Amino acid sequence: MKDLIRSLTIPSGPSGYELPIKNDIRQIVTPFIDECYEDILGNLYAVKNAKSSSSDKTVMLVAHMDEPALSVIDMDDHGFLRIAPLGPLRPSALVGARVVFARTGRRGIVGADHGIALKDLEFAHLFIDIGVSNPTDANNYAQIGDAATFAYGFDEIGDHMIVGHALDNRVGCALLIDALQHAQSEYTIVGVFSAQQAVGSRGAKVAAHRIHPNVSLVLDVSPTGDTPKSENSALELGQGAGIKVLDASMVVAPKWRDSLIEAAKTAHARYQMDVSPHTTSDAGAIFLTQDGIPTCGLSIPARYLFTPSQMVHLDDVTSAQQILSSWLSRLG
Amino acid sequence: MLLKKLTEAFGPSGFEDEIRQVIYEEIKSYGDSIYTDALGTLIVETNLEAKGPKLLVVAHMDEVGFMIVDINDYGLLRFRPLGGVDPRILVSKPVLVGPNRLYGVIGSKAVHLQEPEEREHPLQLQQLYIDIGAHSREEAEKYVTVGDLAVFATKYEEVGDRRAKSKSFDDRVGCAVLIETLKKKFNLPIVYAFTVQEETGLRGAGPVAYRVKPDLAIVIEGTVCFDVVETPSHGQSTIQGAGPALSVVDSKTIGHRTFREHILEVGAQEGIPVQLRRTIGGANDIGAIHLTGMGIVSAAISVPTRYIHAPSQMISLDDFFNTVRLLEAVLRSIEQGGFSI
Amino acid sequence: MLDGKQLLIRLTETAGGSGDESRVAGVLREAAESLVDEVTLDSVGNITLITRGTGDGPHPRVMLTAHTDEITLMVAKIEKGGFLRVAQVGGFDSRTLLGQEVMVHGTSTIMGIIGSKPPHLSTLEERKKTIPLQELFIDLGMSEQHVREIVAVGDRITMNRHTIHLLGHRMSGKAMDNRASVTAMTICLDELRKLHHHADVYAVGTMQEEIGSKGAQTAAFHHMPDIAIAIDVCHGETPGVSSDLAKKLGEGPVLTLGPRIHPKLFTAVRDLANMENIPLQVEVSQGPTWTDADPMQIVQIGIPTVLISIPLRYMHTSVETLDFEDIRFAGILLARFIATIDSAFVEGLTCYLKN
Repeated sequence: MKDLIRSLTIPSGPSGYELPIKNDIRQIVTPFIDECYEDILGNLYAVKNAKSSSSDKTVMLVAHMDEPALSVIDMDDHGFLRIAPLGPLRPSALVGARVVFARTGRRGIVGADHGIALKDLEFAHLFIDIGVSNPTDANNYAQIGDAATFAYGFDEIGDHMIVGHALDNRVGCALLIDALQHAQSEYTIVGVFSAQQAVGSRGAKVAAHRIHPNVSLVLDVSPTGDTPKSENSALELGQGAGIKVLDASMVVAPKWRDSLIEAAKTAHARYQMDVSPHTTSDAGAIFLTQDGIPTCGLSIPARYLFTPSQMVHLDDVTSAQQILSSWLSRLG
Repeated sequence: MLLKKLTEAFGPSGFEDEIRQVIYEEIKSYGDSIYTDALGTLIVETNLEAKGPKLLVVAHMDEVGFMIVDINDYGLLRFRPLGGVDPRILVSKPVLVGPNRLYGVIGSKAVHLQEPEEREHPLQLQQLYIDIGAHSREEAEKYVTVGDLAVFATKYEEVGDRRAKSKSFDDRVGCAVLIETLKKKFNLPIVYAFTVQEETGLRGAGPVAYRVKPDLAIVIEGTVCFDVVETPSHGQSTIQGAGPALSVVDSKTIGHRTFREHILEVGAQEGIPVQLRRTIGGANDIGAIHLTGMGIVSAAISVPTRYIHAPSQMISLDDFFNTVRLLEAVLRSIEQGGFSI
Repeated sequence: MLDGKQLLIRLTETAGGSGDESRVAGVLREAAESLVDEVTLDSVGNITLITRGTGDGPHPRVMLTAHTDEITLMVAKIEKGGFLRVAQVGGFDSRTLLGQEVMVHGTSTIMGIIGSKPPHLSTLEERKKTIPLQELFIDLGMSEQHVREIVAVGDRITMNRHTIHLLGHRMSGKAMDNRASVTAMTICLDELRKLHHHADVYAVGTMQEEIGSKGAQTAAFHHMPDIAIAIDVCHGETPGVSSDLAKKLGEGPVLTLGPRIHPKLFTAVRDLANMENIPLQVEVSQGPTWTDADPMQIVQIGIPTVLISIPLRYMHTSVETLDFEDIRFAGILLARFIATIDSAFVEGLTCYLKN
């Protein structure tokens, strides 16, 4: 699992141009699924048929593959690129950041106009330097509308902690891939690697409309409350996967929340209740689709979200893996 | 003069009756079927049995305006905006109020009567009112009812070097482009929609897209342009006179890359200047349309408009004509099978 | 005979936060089941009470919504010593919570107090500041171990409040927003039994409105009515509030005019109230109404939508105060309006053009 997560955190996947990460995922899942296709928002669908052909029920598992990014809006006479954010990034967290352009692979550094205090910093003060000196050269590597993501990679701290700039949500993608490979279910499983989550769950919205499953489960990260002066959250690293109670976009119906608790108990997997009133996920968009889709969620507790160094505990990933597998086998 | 007629018509978001009727009178002899939907969007179907991808071409007919919310004892009208307005632009502008289109002026305490400290701060909405010349509440109530609407009283005029100014190029210029286009014949199934309530949250476009279920959607807008003194390139969004602007990314949409590149190519082939919109701020009806159903391939083409959401908005007439040319060229290219999804 | 006040008391004293509306739906079902032809529950938590119209030809379909959820708190963390930290489900003003008694719904329901520092220990400076939600705590008067046996993260917390009668028809309690409308909807169903109506009526108790109008959108998609009527509360007049933002208690239900409201429905309801001598107030809106009306208007190809509100003081507190007469009149007005709806009226709702 660790190796899978490592390999998934390398490719870039800015909202709206998820191609590099999508191509990798498609290659990984193709051998063990029945069908694979994409849509115009950029979602990747991977279908695994139900164990018995008589079943007509569908479960949709969703993990967003995109990550927040910097979109080029203008280019100056010296080839510096002016940028705007796609997703919840803070200007102050970006100065000096190393980034990579998803379409061309060109690397760059985020710089800032001189003389602006960190607290006053806005996106209009930031630019990306891609090591060129004129717009013609710059155009070869990045054009208006191209997007760059963090370029830091993957690290391990001690025996259990992993760190990466895109653990949100490549951890969820890894869990979805694992489920597609190993899960046994009476339901047809449609895995959706969703696009454009960071800009407001746009991919999930059209995916839910297309699939209209009987039930949906979202795999994503949730922030912990276990660091100094953090939010009032009971989530802690290493205490098990989070079972979603609510987030900013919806409240999970008690029936489906409890079905995950039962699955965890059956699998003897550790779990925590995830109450994240300020966190958004694809769940809300899916839940609201058409006449309503019962939606629940499994969360991986994570520290330092929306920075280049997000931290996750491997034991929590294992717990999530066990709960998901147990939940899928109990559907029916 | 079409632009004059359209831009001087009354039609704040949700109350588009006058502008809708004006547009209807212009187009009623074209199209196979003309009707309105539950929200009041005006829909014109053309050539639906033709082969080729079904297109939805959209411009919103509503404009930023005001609603009268209270009448005070002096006969002055308190108001609130419909759509996004910077309160700093409001003071000392004439407006047209209510079903009788009475003149009024937006007033506030005279500068002489303000303390030096007060003068430093921009006027807040609650310090402003509309004066229709009434002597008392009773007199005002004879002419105005709470809930009545108002718009800026700006006239359409051509100014400067092939420029024009009006109160509502956002998005009556788009309406004008649609009207010019739907008078031409295309061997394609095309549905034109003049949508309502774009300015209060992209409300009208989603239901039209759901109804039409097009393969491709194009929105024609009047968009932000601030290519003025002391504004750096990355703060301008668009340049007036440099041609229609294609949306790349805005607050509600990440544009469809292939469709945008096709439109750029068509512009280049036809010798029509085209620019890219260089800001992430703002949104248009594509934000609602492209997420409808299983998703719709879409593009937004805009006429750069200076002083958008203010009493006097300015466009370049060349940009307007080039937008008409570009839309026709794009539709012809699709007609000839030059773009597939 | 439906006892509206009694129903309102039962509804308001029932706990039902967003996403956990089943008990409230149960009370509604018990009260209204005998008034309608059919009751259905959907897979996401809406309850629909269906009354079929009479007469030939296709029946117009009218959907009413009143959201069943109330704002609540939720256990976010159990601190050392067994004190609870909380998260919002819907929007309380944290200033109204200090010193409040609450009910924590764990494996059993237990009472707690939102603690406050006594003035003897707080400085003058401290007392000038509001205390953010993050710093509030609930004291259950139990050891941490005992707390953990009963309470878990994710459990609901509701206000401990009995609904009380004030002077005249005024009443006060928690969750008047929006059980007042649930009551008005039930009164409407009761009234409809006395009237001939052509329209089929789908009265929906919607879920998760307080966190962004979820249930009304999915229910409207499911039923796809010809007309949607949202019932909710609006602000009641209090000193110092602008007259367009708050309406008088006891002077009738409130009808909204604005972009989210179909102009012909507005006119029809207003004219009917005039004709029938039912008191009615008008509220103007310039955009979102922040009610079920907003999402319903743009479901599928769009639905003509109208909004009726009950004026309510002290919204989103445990002492929400209203005048029962406004609820009763809302129910009567809605029923009489529904009785006027025929196919020709419905067809006219999509005709905006002259000739």
